[in-house]
Amino acid sequence: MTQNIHIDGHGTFSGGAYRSVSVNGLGRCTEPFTCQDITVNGSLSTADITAETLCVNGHLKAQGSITSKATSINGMVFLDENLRTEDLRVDGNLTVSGSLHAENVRVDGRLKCCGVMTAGPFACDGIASLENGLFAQSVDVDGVLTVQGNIEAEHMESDGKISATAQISADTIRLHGMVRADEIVGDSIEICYKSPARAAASFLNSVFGSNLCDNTRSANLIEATSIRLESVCAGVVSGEHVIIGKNCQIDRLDCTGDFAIDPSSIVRLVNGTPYTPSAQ
Amino acid sequence: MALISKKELLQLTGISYGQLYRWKREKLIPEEWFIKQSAYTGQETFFPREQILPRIAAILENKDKYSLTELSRLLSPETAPALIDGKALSRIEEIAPDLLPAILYFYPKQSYDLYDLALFAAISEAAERLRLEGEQRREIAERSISASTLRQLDSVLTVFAVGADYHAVLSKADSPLVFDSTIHNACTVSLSEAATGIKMKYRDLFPAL
Repeated sequence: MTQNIHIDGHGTFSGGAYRSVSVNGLGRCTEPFTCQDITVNGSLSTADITAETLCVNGHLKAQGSITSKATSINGMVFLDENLRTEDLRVDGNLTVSGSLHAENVRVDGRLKCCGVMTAGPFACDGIASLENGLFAQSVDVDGVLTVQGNIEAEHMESDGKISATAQISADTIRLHGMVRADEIVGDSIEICYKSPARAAASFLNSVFGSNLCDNTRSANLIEATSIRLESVCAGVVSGEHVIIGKNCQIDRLDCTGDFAIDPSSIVRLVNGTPYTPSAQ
Repeated sequence: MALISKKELLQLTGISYGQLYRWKREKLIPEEWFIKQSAYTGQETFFPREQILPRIAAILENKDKYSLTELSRLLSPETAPALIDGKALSRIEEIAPDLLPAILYFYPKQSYDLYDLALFAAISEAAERLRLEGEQRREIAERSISASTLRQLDSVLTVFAVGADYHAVLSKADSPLVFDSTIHNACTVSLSEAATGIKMKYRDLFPAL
């Protein structure tokens, strides 16, 4: 079928196969439909949609799943079920009640996913809130990423804020912002904790000579082959090659190879024995 | 259950933390094997000794020969999808051994799922009940397989004779077939019953089912 659907006022269309669907007014389709491209500038309420390209500038509510190649969201989209797409760009607001699978993800707006999220490259400059884990090839966060469950990736990089309730596991981890997780594990981990609270505290300390400090723990366990930390508070740090840089507070360091501890940092136990800086 | 600590494991096997966690992400080491327990040093992670040591050895030996996903499928049925391969089919008694070559010929797949097994078992049962012999058995296997396009466990296989030829029909379980008076030898086998039987009987052998 090479029929097009164009709605300027109020319109309802039935399910089926279309070429181009464009909604500038108020549209409604209660049956699954497929199309080449769909553009929603107004408001559309649907069931399942299968499309090549989906572009929402207005408002889309789908009581079903959406499968598409390219998905571009500038407006607001609510899905009752799952989203499966190759290219996902969220500049507006996307809420997926089911699972989300996308090859390429770029979030500049807000993303919320209640189910499991799997992706290839995942980049977030906006706010992403995932309630059932994130399993991606690479994770690049300059905004805020909040995950309930685990974050798994091959490579993770952040200048923003990442938090996971369970474990962050990746081969290489480079975090230069804020991070909070139960465990952070992998092959090569570098965390240089920077937070507005710490920056403010250190500024006030330098001006007023106060002794404010922010002791929020980044993780209960940081474990990897190579670890480099700066301004990190953690429970146990465990690895083969460990560098504890400036201003860290670590409960216990277990190192099977070489390690170095900056004089400004506090480490309570090193390989089971209490640590005093003068001993180095 | 004998346990080995994570630290001891790394020491013994010579692998790094990076490798351990990478293999866990790749599902080569099941998450359930990471057992957290309180030790005097705090929370420590342990592994089931009898299972983790051979697994690490197997990964180390084969990691250069196979890709990590292939390795994951090879190494453990419980982490791979619920499928069994052609060779394992011979272990299912419900599938008549003489029909196996025909089945593998007409329906070659890398791995078979529960529906497939139920279908093959149903074919074998029908062939048995109707006392089919030799070429008839292989023919009915071919025809039954060609009829199974819907792939619903909630269906029945009916084998019947038209003259000297045997034919097969796959239909929904709740719609019984009624033949005309010229059809005599007809036999109906339920796929869902066959599936349940196989699942129960082979739960230990093929835990993924």
